[in-house]
Amino acid sequence: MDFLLDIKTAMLPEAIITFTILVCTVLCFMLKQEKQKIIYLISLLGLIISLTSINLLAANKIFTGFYNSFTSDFFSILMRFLILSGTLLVIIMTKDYSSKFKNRQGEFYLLMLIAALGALLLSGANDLIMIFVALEALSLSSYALSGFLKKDKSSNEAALKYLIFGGASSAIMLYGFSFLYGITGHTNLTEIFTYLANNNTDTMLNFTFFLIIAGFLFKVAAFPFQSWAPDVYEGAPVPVTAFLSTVSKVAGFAILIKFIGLAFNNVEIITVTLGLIALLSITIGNFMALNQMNIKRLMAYSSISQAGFVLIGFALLSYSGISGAIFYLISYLVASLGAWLAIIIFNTQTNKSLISDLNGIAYRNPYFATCFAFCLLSLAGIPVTVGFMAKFYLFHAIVQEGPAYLWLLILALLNTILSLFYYLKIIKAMFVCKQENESFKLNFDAGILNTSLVALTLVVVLLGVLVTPFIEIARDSALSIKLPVKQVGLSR
Amino acid sequence: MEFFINNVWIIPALPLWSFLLILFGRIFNVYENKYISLALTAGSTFIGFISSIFILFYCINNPETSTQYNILWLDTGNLKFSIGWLVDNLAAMMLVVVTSISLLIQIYSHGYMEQDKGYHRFFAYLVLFNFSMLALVLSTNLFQTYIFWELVGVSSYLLIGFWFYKPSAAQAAKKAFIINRIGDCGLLVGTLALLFYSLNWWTSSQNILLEFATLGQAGSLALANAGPVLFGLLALGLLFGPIAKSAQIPLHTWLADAMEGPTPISALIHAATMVAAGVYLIARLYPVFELSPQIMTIMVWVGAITAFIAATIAITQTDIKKCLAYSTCSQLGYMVLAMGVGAYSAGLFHLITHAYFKAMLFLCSGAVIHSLADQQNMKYMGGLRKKIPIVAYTYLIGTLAIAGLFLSGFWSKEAILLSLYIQGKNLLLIIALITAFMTAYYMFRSYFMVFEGEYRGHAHFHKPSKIMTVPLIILAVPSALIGFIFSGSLKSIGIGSFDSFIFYGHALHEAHVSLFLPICSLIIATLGFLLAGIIYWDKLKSLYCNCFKLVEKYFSPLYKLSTNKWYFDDFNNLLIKYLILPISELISIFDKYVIDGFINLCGISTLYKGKAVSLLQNGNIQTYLVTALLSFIAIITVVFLIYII
Repeated sequence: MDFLLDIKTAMLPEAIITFTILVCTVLCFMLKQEKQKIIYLISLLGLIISLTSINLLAANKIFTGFYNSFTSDFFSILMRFLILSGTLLVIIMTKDYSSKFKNRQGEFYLLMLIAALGALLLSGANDLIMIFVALEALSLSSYALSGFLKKDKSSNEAALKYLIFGGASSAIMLYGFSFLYGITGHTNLTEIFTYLANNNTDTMLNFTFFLIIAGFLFKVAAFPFQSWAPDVYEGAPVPVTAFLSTVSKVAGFAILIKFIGLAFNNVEIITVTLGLIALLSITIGNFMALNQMNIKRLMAYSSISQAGFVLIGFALLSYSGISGAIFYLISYLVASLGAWLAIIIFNTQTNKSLISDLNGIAYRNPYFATCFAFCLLSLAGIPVTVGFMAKFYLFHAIVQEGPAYLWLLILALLNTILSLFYYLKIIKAMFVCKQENESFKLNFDAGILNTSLVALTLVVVLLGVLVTPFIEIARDSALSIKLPVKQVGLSR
Repeated sequence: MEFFINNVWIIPALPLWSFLLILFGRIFNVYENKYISLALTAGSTFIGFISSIFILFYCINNPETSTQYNILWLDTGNLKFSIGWLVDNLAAMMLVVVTSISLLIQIYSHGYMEQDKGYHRFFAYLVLFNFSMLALVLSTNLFQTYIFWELVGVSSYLLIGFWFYKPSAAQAAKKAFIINRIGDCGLLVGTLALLFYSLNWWTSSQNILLEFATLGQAGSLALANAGPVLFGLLALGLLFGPIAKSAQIPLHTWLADAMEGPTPISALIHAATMVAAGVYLIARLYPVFELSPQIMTIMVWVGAITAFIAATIAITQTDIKKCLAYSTCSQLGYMVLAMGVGAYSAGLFHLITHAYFKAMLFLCSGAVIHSLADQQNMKYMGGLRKKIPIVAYTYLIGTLAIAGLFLSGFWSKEAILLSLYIQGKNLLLIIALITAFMTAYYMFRSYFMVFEGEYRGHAHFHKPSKIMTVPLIILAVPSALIGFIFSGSLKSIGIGSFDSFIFYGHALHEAHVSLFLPICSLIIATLGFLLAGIIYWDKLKSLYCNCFKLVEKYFSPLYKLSTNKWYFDDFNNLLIKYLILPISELISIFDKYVIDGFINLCGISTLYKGKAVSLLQNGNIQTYLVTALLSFIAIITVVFLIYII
């Protein structure tokens, strides 16, 4: 009965998603092609039930289940909430797009749910094996999803590149896991932590740290494992891209911070490495984005640089830094999902994805353009939107850490200015440029896609105006993570 | 009752909600029917009105209580900004005034704007204004006030420029925005300086940052820290906000131009509520202003001069709305004057009575303009009393009220005059009385020109609909009676005088009752009425033939001064042309060649760097993997080099 109790106390959302997956599998075989739209509804229903079931988890306690391989604390609950709502929105996005999948619509939702399950498990994983299995569940279904447009060359290319790159980084990570197991003799993170706390750490462990974060950096598309992102984002079906740039990243960040906090004590190494990686991600993402003409590629580079901002918060290794990073993650999720929704509305109806195709759209679709512009402004960090508040709190956390971290602050600020260029480029195209060729008008009615876009825009503004309750949520969730103790007098 | 106090946030929240619904109207199918926008707007205001009434009664029954609730809005370590709502007697009174006038004007607007293409846009702006004004009234701290201060400014800008395709409207909106910006700049600088000089006190005590309830203590601390001179400048900065918003000299020129907006807007924003917000802010900041006697003196003279000059300008205006606009300006001067001499209750009393009768006067003028196909010049009106008697009689009530002949304006103006008299400020008293004379004169002049005599225009006349006249009739009731109700004469049936309800420091119980002043001011108002009648009313005209020409002949320099609005606009133009523009051009050369050059250089070089970096992204998976691994190794090496070895 332990098993059922574990599910009830810690893993209710996962269990519901698993059940939905089973139902969908059966339906995939049973239903005829034209009736497969039902699976879309069932997966939505499963996600909604799963989201509501999060309420039943006790937020203020830490539960472990499945022989300590999974922990449910407030942090993981928040992450699971983000993952589930992100997946929900991604599945909503596929409403019109799924006609491109021809006769395999059911499988698409099935894979999407499996990926979401992997992400959910990853956010609470407490065991090396669990981490690996969850990560692979997420990755493998993502590979398949990226290549889901079978006849499309670029989709196939995307899947292949993603697979090769993922394989390479997984291999590096697994190599690191084996070292960690060799040093400590445990696979459970809690036990590893106890072991390391009582024994001297050495250079080997630091090396292990580098190897392991490679896998996570790949998931969040941070430097140096970022180069797959633009090609995959461009080639993969747009909902999948949205999934990769939001949900998959949230899971990657969740396990990254958990892992760092649990297993390593060497604050300096972590700070410098993550800080360096963060800055390089931001800078490279921004520089690459400057000359992009394709919105999807531009968003890919933008997501690389956004990942860098989250990593800055992690690099500080203080609770205010982590809570800033968590809040930044929330803001990124909302704004980025909004931007992807706008892109998918545009892309499904016109089959175009260049920035110049958006020229003058504000005159014909003011709502669409306004919503899209707000999401982009939030990504750039302009006031009234949540992105500004997120950057504000993140930079505030850097300042609190004292002058030793000033270099992070200055470079991050410079990069923020730089990033405005390409976000404003899209906005300029929409609001200032005149359209050149034939005029088209998007159908912007009361459909679920448009309603979600407006709702997300409202959330972007609402979070930007009424920020304190959400900051407190982020702070509470950060407090439930174990962090290495900082030595006083950190220099250099 | 407690329920309404605890949920007072509903009053501004509902308009905000309606605003969003109308803004995203296409999705919620709002644009299908005009009544949906009207219902959303008026419905939200109506609920606000009902709860304001309950709150007012609660406050009347418990006059000593002030409730406030704050939530932490922005926590930046040392500075914790909060927003919330504060309900005290003053706020309760303002809530009722704002919601009741808004509600009637919204209903009226339906009739006025029904044929307009931008109907839904109009209501969206209107309800946005409503939200910001109500939230401004309920603000607990100066910081929150500033936010909503700006928001009312924005909605005013949007509504003045509602017909933005008319160049004059666009110009007027711009002018209003820029002039208000000067005032807002002063307010912001004043706020920040106040915060700066009392920062330690705020952070060490557990008070809400910049809250009104403890502003007095913080102010005296700032006075001690900054010294009287700096503190005076600080308070002057704060005063600039009200000066611009309440259209006081020298920042008054925007108000007359703001009449380019639709007339309901002139009634709501530029007569009754937003311009009065300046006086409301003075009331809220009273503890700070009071600490600096010089500022109080400045306030007095700003008010007095505005009251006088605006009245002299109003005398010669032929545009009915401009005439009313300068009258508003003049009456606001009265209020500021009253606040300056310490007649806190009298100033706010006049604010409230003025809000009702001036809103009504503007709505009347709107009905006239609407029925004469957008004719605003009074020279082409006349004799309208027979055609639209309801409008004529309500206008007459408003005229009597503002002139101070027995109706509500009499009581509030009387309170101001009385406090001037008691304090022995004879010069100010004389100015105020002269202004009162001019007020009676120009208001009756406008009444006679519009409603009496023969019709002089050519425009085709059509009757205003019921939806426009009913709000007029309803507004006529408070315009006529509210002064008397709160005058203290009804103490026997439980309605106390206004100054026992809203006061600063301690309630004034004046035993001083003299018939000299009331009679004096009544005589003066009657004189104004007679003069206007002699010149403009045909029935009295025969008494003194063609006085108008005579005045024009003998007083032509003064007449010119008045029609040209004392050359304020020309002076501003000269100032900008010969002083500000040359300086800014000089600076812009530096900006153009040095700063822009540097920025462009950075930008261009960055773009090239971007191109260089993207060479690595060549679509080749082998290259990707090699670069990834090499850079990973490089990072490891760097970190190890720094920390391990």
